[in-house]
Amino acid sequence: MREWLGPLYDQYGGYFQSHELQVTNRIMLESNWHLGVNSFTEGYNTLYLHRNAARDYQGGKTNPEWHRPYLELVGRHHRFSAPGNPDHQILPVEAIAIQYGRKQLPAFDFDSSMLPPGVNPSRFDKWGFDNVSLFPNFVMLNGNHWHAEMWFWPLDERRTMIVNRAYTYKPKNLGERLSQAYFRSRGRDVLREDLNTLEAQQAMLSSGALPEIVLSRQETCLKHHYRVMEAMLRQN
Amino acid sequence: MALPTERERAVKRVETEIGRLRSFHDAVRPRIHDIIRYFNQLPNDPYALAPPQRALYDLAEMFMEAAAPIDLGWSLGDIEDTFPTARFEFLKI
Repeated sequence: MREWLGPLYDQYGGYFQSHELQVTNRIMLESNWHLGVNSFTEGYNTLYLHRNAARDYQGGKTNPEWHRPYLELVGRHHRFSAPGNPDHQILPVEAIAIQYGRKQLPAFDFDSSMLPPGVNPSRFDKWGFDNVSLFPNFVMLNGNHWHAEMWFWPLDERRTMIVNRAYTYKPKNLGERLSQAYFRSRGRDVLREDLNTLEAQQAMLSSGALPEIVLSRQETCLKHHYRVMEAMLRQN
Repeated sequence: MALPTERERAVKRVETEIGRLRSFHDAVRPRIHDIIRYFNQLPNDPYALAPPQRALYDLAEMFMEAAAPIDLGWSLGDIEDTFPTARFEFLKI
């Protein structure tokens, strides 16, 4: 495990133990597993894709294009940070959820003081959450007071089983549980918007109409994912 | 709308017409602080609640579930053109 994770191995002490499982979702998708992983391998899509479910959870006036503040390639893996929005408009029921619990997506508390060094590794002051991809098929979203773990299991070249586990801080009363229910619903809506593009992507790519796709600098981690895969295939 | 599982609540929200969701929201909203304060006096275990309390707790959970379409001003109970909630399995493990 130490060899596989490299420098990530000992950067998360106590973080996962501070959370408990809220729900596990299993989703069968008519899409190649790479596309599922790739939908969480860059962050600029969020500005466009989540306009309905979480229209202002990232970026803000000083970062209108929602640029990633931190990105790191770690051996076969990678991670990047998503910028929270200090100008995020708290909605009426969201305010109630915050009053009786802790901020989770789409609001962030910008407090990294209790986090281990692997979470918000650059200590970005307007930090929202991290996206950590462990090659080949595991993605974590790590926030303050919550995290999500996603496995993308290939069933064949065009079908994937996704297992998504949502974790949050351990609630100390029923009010905190109700607060968590609000944020869980918001997070599910965001995830559904992510999943919604994948089967269409599969259909388009399978058509062969586009022989190549040029990736941008925003998609550095995507390049890394495929570079690692090709190197392993060549090695074998 | 006091449904006992997260799956039932999630499906109910997306299948309910926005006017009904708004009526539900408007009915519960003035009492939600009282409801939460009441539950904060009880043991921290929804499964230990007596049936009438559990029904109220599930109603409060549904209020949280149904909030986004109202607060975000959607014209439906769900986002148009998104991945169907019905294709989500909700597992205990």
